[in-house]
Amino acid sequence: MNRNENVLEIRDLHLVYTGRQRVVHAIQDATVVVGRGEAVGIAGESGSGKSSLARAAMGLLPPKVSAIVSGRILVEGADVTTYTQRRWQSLRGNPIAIVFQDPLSFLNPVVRIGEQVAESVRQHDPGVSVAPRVRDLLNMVQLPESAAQRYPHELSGGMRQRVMMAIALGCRPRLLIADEPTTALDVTTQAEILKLLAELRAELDMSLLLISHDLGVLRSSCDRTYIMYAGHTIESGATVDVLRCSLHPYTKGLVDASRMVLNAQNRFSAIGGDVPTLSKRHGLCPFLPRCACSIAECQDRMPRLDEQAAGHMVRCWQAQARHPAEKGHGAV
Amino acid sequence: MPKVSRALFRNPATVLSLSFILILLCLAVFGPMVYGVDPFGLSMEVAEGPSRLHLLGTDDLGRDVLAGMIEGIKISLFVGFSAALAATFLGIVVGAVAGYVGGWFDLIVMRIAEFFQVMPSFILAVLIVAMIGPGLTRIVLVIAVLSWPQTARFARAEVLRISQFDFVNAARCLGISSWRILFTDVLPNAVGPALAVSTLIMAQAILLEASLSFLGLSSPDIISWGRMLSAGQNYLETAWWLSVFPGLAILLTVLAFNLLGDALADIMNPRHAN
Amino acid sequence: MTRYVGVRILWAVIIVFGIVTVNFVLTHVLPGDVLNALVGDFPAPQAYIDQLREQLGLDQSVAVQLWRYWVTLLHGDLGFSFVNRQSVLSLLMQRAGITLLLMLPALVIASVAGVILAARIVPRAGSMADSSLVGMSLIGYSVPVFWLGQVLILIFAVRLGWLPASGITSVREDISGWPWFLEYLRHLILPGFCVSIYYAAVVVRVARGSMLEMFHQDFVLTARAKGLDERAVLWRHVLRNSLIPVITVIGYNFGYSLTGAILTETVFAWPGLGGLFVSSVHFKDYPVLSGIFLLVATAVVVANLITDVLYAVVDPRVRTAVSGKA
Repeated sequence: MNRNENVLEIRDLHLVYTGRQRVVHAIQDATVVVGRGEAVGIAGESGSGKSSLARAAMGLLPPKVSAIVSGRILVEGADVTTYTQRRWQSLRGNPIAIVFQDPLSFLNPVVRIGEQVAESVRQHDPGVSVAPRVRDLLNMVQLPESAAQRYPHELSGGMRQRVMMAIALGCRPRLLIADEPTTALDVTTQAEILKLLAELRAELDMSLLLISHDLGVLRSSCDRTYIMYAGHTIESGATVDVLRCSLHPYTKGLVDASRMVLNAQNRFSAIGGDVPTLSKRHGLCPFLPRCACSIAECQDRMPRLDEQAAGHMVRCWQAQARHPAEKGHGAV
Repeated sequence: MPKVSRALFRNPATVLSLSFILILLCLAVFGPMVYGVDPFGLSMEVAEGPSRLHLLGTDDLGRDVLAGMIEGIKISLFVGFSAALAATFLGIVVGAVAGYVGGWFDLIVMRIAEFFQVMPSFILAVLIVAMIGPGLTRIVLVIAVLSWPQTARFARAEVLRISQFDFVNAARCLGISSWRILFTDVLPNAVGPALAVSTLIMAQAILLEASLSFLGLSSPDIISWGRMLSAGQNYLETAWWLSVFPGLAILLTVLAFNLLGDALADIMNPRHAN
Repeated sequence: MTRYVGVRILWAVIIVFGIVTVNFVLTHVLPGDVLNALVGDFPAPQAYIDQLREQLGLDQSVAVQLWRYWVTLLHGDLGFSFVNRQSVLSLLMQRAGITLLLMLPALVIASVAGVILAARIVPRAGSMADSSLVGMSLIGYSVPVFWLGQVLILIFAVRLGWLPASGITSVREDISGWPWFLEYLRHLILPGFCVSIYYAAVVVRVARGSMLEMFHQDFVLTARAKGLDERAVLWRHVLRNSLIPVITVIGYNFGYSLTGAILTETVFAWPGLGGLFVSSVHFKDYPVLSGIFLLVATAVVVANLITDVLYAVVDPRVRTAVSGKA
């Protein structure tokens, strides 16, 4: 396998959920790439499609009610877009593993922790002797060995999150997806978990795809970041660039709001209006109704994702007009 | 309420059961006029199978089975409705107050409720009726006393759930008396789930009354389906129609109420289930 | 865990105390002489009546009577049945065994069959087969069990002559060992089916519902994300969790199934507690009725206790909650 190959590539993905009488276009046009050893973040509010993206990357979407309309998903170069559940099963855990938010419901309540971690080991490391490996994994996530005998409800939120990570690591993944790993935790525990993630990344040469609505989390942990809005990736690039020199008005609003910047009226800045409905495919920029800096072209067609500066891409006519592109649409 | 009715009518099973109950009611009211045979009347056609004269046959005294079944509708529905009504009323009041007031009262009430649910109600019912004598009102009372814990449990759970909501605390802060809050805000919300349970209690009551009659514990001057079955027990080999038809009536009626109760429970419960 | 079990046992004892008190109250509430309740309508020798009066302190205060009643009970004296000419206790023991011979196999088969049926149907949820199963289980717990018995007798005993209509064994005396056992099985089929139908229906309903719910649980997503195949997900994660409510429903419905057994015994002339119960009602043999009530209620309490403990064994979350069932 090529060392330079991307671990995960999602290109122009269009994903729908089909309900009884309605259809939800959860992801309308998303492109996300994670290279080997990279730490990539996806930011967005609820409904932006980021969690669906995470699950799509592992084929964990409920098969009867979801469908990929167009676009591709590549895992280590292989096109997995049309994989059946059975084929997906061979990919899950290794090379991609996932850690979820709110771990109490994500752990089997009647099975001891040690056994749940051991399951990963047995599945992905068949020859290895299980008990020592489980101990190692618990050590890696900084949990005491005695935790193995406990049940999930007997542990704190932070400990459970570590257990989830141990389970994921037991699969020896090359990419770890963390879906809102710190949202259910208090600030101190958050910091510990993020630190742990960074250490593990370094130690195991693992890629990380971190999904969060909290920009601070992404700023401290990710080299590159994607911003999602209403099912579209609207901006991406080096985290520093995206957050400090945001091109898209939504990103700017998000950053201002998170920094609790006071605006001209001495109030916290917020983005007025509501997220658009997802029941139909957007023909124009989804942020248009809430945007204060739209230009004529915004009323005509949907903006394309284009590279504005090195590695910094944005889906916005107004931003592209102000900073004409230096290259054509870039590779990332 | 309109939302509930809409959801109800969308489900084919509920429409079926509601229609059946409606048919029963119509039969009870108009049946005697239409069919015209006196259920208590003895005739010459003794122990005869279904014929043109007697659509569902006659018993050992020449009484018409169909007429008896129509008469029995009144008994079953009466017992079902009144027992469920009494049990629901008692249960909601006790349960809601227990949940709202909490503390010792709540503890004691719930232990008593648990006690009633542990005791095999049928046996207790038989014992009591055997001791105090048969009679419709007594049976209704016995069933009500044995069934109230079910509604009480639901009412109490709802009250506990709603009491946590802030609007209740807000009302308290405004100085509105606890009892008023209970009646205007909390109780109306507890009624919904209790309604579903009371439909199920109706089904249980009908079954219980039939069982009691089967054992001969109903008053001899009324015709009830269970009693018809107990008479049929001795004629299984010779007059099968005495057992099959009344029992079928019991089955369909209980089924209808159970279906309805299930549907109501589905609607009242987390409606936002996936 | 020990604390949980301890508390449950304590509650069970308290409830049994309550049951005995209720029993005591019932006999005193009866219209007419209390002695009537204790002896029944059957004419009893005066000497016995006097002895009873002395033993239970009937001319003294209620508190003393209650106390004496307790003492008598603890000595295993449940009274004497003049109708059956036996002490109530020995009568009950005899008949209870026969009822168990009906109930236990029926319950076991019903529970196992219910779980297996549910596990089979869940992958095909929403299909015709699924709807039929749901419909049948609804009928199963709505059907009046005594009517079902009659219909079964009509079809299988009267019309087809395949199976016996009553009794526990054939009338021919002198069979024991294997032949007796086979006859017992033959006689068990119809009444056993009646007793088990309600149970099976309830178990199927609960098992199916809980298994379906489990498939949507978050920890199942985690299990899949680990790369486990569907079979492992089903057996190791879904089944273990979905059986929890099934166990509780099996245990807590034991009382109801006793009712079914009593009615079934009446229809099939199965010589167990049911038949005794009905004939005692008929003869107004109150000491026996009282004894049956006591026995059955205590059995239900014990069954509930066992279920409580099993529940805690299977679901570790319950062990930390000390209060009773929700």
